[in-house]
Amino acid sequence: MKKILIIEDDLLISSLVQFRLKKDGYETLLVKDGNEGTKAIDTFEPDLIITDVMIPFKNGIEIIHYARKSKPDTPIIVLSSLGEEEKIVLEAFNLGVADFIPKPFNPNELAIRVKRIFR
Amino acid sequence: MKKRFIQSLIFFSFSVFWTNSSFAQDSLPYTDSTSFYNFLELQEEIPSFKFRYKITSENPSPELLNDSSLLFVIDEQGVYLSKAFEKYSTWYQAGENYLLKDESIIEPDFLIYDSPSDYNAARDYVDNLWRNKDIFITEKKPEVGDVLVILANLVPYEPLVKYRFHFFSDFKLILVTSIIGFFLIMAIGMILYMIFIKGRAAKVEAKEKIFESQIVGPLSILLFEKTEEEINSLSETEIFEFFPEKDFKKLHFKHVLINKIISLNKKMKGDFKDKLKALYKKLKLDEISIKKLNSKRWDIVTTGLVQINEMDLVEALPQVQTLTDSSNFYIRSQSIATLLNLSEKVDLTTIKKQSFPLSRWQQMNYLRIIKFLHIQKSIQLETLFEGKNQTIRLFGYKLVGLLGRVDLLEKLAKLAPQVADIEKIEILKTYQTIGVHTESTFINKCLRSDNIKLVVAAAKASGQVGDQVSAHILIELLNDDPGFELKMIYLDNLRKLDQSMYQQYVATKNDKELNQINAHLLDPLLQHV
Repeated sequence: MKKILIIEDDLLISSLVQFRLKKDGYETLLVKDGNEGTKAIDTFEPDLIITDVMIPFKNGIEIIHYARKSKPDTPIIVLSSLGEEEKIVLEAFNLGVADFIPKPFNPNELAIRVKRIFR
Repeated sequence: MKKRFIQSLIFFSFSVFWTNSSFAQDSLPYTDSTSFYNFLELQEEIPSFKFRYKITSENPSPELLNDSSLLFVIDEQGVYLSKAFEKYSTWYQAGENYLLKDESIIEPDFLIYDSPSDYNAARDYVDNLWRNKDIFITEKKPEVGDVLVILANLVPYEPLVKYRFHFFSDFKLILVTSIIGFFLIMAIGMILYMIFIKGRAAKVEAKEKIFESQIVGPLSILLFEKTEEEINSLSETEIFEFFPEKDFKKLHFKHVLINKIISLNKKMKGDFKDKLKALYKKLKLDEISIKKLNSKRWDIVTTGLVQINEMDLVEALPQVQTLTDSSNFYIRSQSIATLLNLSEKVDLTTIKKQSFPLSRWQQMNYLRIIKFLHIQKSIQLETLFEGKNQTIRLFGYKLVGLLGRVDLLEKLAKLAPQVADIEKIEILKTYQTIGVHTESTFINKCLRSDNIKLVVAAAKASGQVGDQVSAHILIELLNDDPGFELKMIYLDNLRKLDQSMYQQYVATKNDKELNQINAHLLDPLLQHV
């Protein structure tokens, strides 16, 4: 079973994403801040990371930096309401993220993108 | 220095006046030798001061010389001096018999710090002690007999001045105590209030977290496992299966649910939005949002309007319509924004009817909505030209330029000559933005106005859409020698309008200022500065 780490401070959004991904048969772990996120990357050893950009303690870009050093092959999907912030998107892509989903988003669309990455 | 001295003097005088006391005992309690001796008698003893007698008689009697209480001895200068007494009474009693005799046999003599001193020196010493408050007037102690002591022991002690009366008689003490008491009560009150508020907020927050955790699960199931139709056909019993009846009946729970649904609605897209809206109505949360419009608090009304806008509650529009001319700025702005967003029938006539002026913030807010709205339906922009107040008409002229409504230029051209100067300026800006070359007559008329602001706006418009007449008027204006700033505007627009006339004008005029402006305008780096 593929493991997905969800780093998102909005409980409702993260729960919806978790619910949708569980339906597709993935094992998920939900954390609400950057510190917990970096710890979970080492302990949970996910096959995919879904992270928001604006999260407490460490932002999404810092998470990507950490994941690149710790687990260079783990794909990352960035989920953020900062869709219009071109600089962040570019930085995330330069760091090698697999996908970028701007909010508002459709969880079904996210599930399809996850499937595509694992394929 | 002088100032400081005066300040000190004022302070000193004030202190003396206020405290009603001086820093030394001003007057002496004795005036002559008799009163001085009376004073010494009262004092009985004076620090470092002793009494003795000196024999003044040339032939003192053996009785005197052998007086056992005086014990005269002869000093180096051959003067008989008695022994020294520390107590006045002992001293006086010892020499009383000789002092009362008619002829002067002995006279008082003194020792200060064991040094022989005469009457004047003794008086100076006592004077100093008195002034320095080292000695005070002592009163004779009453002789208390044993009987009196027994009687006194039988009567219980009762203070003459009780503290209570003393406290109330001292207004300064009352004042200070009151101030300290007031601050103490206030501080305690504030701390208690803060603890209460914090406690209540923490309680509400904790409750909200519990509600939120109760909401997350059911919402996920409803959104992912039910279709919009299924949500619409949910019965009350089914709803209570998702949300516990006990909590669902609480208004606080419903408010948390409203906030969560609205928050999700902002972050979700596609069919999720429709499901959320269906659920909002099914749970009768729309009734709470609509009810908020009747509140007397403007913040609650505005929240209600935002919720109606977010959840597309079109059935509330008639009530929203009534709020468009509210005296509250936020209610007014939000209700119009909601109407423009939701209503298919509503156009800009709603704004036209407003009696309150439009702020720049409101204009920006409406523009954001109108930008999308004018593509979908007719917004009746021209109705704003007939607006009740000037700000609405000005907003209408601005919109023509911002939305590129060339079809309204004819109407604008008819209106332009009749309106006030401030409106003419806005129309000129619109002509400039769109690039209306047919209105040069109006621009030229404005260039000849007495209102300098209108002339400047016309000059700027002429640079874009002026004609040869405009260029000639600009040269006329330049010849009138306006200030530096105006000269620069006129020259810049003359250059934009007719390059050859500009060059000819600059070449014929031998003006230092003109050459400076010319150099500035032609410099590619400074052109836009």
